[in-house]
Amino acid sequence: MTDLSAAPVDLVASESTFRTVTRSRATASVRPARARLVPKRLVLALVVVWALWHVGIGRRELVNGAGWSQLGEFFRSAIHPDFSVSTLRAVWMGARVTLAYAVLGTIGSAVLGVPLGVFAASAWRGERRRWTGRMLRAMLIPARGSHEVIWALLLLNVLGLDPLVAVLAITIPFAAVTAQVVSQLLDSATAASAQATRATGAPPFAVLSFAVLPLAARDIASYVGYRFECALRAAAVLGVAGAGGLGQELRLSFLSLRYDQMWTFLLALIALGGAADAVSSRLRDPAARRSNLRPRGTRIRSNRTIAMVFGAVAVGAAGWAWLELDIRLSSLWSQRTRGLASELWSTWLPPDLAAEHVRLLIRLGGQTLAISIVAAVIACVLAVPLAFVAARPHTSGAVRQSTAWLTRFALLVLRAIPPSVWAFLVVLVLFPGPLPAAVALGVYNAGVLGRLLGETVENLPDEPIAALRATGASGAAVFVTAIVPLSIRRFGAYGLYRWEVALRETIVVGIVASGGLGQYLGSRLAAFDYPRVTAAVIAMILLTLVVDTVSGRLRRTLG
Amino acid sequence: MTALAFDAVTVRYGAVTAAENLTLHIADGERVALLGPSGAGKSTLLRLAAGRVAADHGTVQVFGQEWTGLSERDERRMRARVAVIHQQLDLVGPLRVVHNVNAGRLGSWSTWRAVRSLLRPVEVEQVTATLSQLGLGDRLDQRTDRLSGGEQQRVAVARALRQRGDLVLADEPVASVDPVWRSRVLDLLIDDCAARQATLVASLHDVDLALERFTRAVGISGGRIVFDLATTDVSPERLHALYTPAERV
Repeated sequence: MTDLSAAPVDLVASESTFRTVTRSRATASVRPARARLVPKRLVLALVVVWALWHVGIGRRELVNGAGWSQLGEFFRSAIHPDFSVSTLRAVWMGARVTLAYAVLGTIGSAVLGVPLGVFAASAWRGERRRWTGRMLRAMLIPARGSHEVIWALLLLNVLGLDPLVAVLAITIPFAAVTAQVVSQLLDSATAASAQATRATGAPPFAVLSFAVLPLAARDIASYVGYRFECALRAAAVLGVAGAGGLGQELRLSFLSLRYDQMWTFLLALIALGGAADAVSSRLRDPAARRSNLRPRGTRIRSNRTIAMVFGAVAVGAAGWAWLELDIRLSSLWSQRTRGLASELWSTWLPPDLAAEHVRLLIRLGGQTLAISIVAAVIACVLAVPLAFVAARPHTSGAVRQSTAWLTRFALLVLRAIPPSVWAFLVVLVLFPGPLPAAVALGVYNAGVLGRLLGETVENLPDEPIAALRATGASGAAVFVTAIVPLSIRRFGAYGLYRWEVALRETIVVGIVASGGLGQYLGSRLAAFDYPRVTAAVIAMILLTLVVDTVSGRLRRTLG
Repeated sequence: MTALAFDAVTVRYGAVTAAENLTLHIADGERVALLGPSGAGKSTLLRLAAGRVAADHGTVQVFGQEWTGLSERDERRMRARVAVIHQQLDLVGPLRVVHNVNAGRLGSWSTWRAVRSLLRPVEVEQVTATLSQLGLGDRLDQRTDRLSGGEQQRVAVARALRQRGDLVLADEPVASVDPVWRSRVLDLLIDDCAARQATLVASLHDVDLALERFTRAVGISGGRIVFDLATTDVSPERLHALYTPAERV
């Protein structure tokens, strides 16, 4: 669902730029990177051990043997989903709602986020005005730091039951992330060309339109495509939380133990997710999927055609979703909304920051942190080997091709099942606590991570690999000497991104008595204890800030 | 014996013709420079020889065998005999220099030896010797993508030298090397091939260097051979004609 971190595409897309940057930084550090990393690795290992211990591994009984038969029953039901007319009708209605949420959420976040990102970038305005960008980025932090579910809860208190709640819950955090990524993308990928153009004395807007946007337009478009994929997952999660659509249907059939119905809804989610993946990877696909055998004369469709098609599809989709959800903007400034908003102001503020409560929040924050670390470790351990198998292979053997296809499908299933549903399933076989929460998030994120890593492998530069093949090296030798070293750092970076995402997602798995801030937030909300809710939300935002910073630092050392 | 034979080879990339009914035979131990303007088809010829591009028409034979139709095993054996220096370097950036140089040996090593060497480099003395000749003796443990462009190109040359191929194909092997090193690197390559009686085919933009160090020069333009002469017989007029754009339709 929510990938509230700066996403992958920017890295993939501007890879060549990054390469030139590292190259020109070149000879400054003569010391091999290896020597510096050793103590850092030790620290990382200790942190992981702490997290594992914290979620209860090696300390108490964790596996509930009695639940295996039920879990087995759930997976056996996959063979015979419920295809009765009434269920199929529910699928049809639910899919329309989920899709409409995702469409409006994505388009809204692009409309808000892209201009904000462009404005926050310093590439086109010169270093002197950097501080405005910095300020803007800082202002976006709370929006980025809160999960969609938190936004939904907040908006629910203001707008009441309104389709705008889910739409805005996706739009706001996604716009903030989009702004962040776009500004980073502009600053890293277009710095050189922007500087060269500024050096001619061109005014800012000329630099923007000549040297910045043309270079970045395609990457921005592909990033929006990727966001759509995330928005679909977010819409499903919001559904499980009660916003309607496929997620809500899924939850209702789970509560009535209708596993066969669940699979019908899951199949619909898988189909939607698969379609979105296909569209977004098509957008991302370098029209230059680099192959040295690609005819040099191949025509690449012009940017303008792409932009027009993209725009037309977006406008059409937005119109459909608007009507589908029966959105009325008037509810944003109705009498009732204003009343609820001012009430919110007085009930939610000030936050409960008594020393005792702060101590509690710190302890809960530690639990949440441990859950997120274990989840990220599980995701990486599952995703890394799967990614190599899932990547579309160069060889054409039928066995190899079909294993790759099956693995990609398995990954799609892992990420199509919302993490909250995973939590319900995991808690059948693990006793409630932080571990099932971590496992649920880990398995779900393995689905997302596996796909991103697989794409990394597919998009590796062909040349070094072909060069090693040209020496007569065996497939296995090429794998260890070229494919692994070329992809492993990118893998590390994605793993860290997933950690940031997993931390935010701990909010939605609080239902399995996971402990941590997520569960606490839920219980305080149920008790209408709003000053403490506000304090917990602030704690969560601070924690995300810390994790984002640490993860960003670590990513930079990956070089 | 013939090391490399192109017979009536045609290669087209969409509307661009990179080789047009081209025939060229190169004997064992020859030292051939390919000359011509950018886009003339020099790289394509080298890629054809290396088995990385297939001809649309005609045949390409290396040591009397075509690339197409080789079994996987034989293809690997053949690749081990053909060392290639690529125009875009094609090094594995995140790996240390020593591994990139040793990568030249991958065709002769077992997979097991390759993996072991990644953990603990083997044949370090030979790698050091080769790199020292190229002025990079102290760079073994550095990450390859941290080197400058010219240094990386020398690493690519070192990789090819380590491969000890019977046929060495070099696509602009010294283009980004600074002038001081340029002739030394080229000499090293030539001496190495001469000592092992290996065949060397290189494309070069530096015409003077090519005429000075090679024995045979082949001028290419628009995918056709314009001249094929001993380097001593190449006249300034021919070179001028070769590089004048009006010649190309």
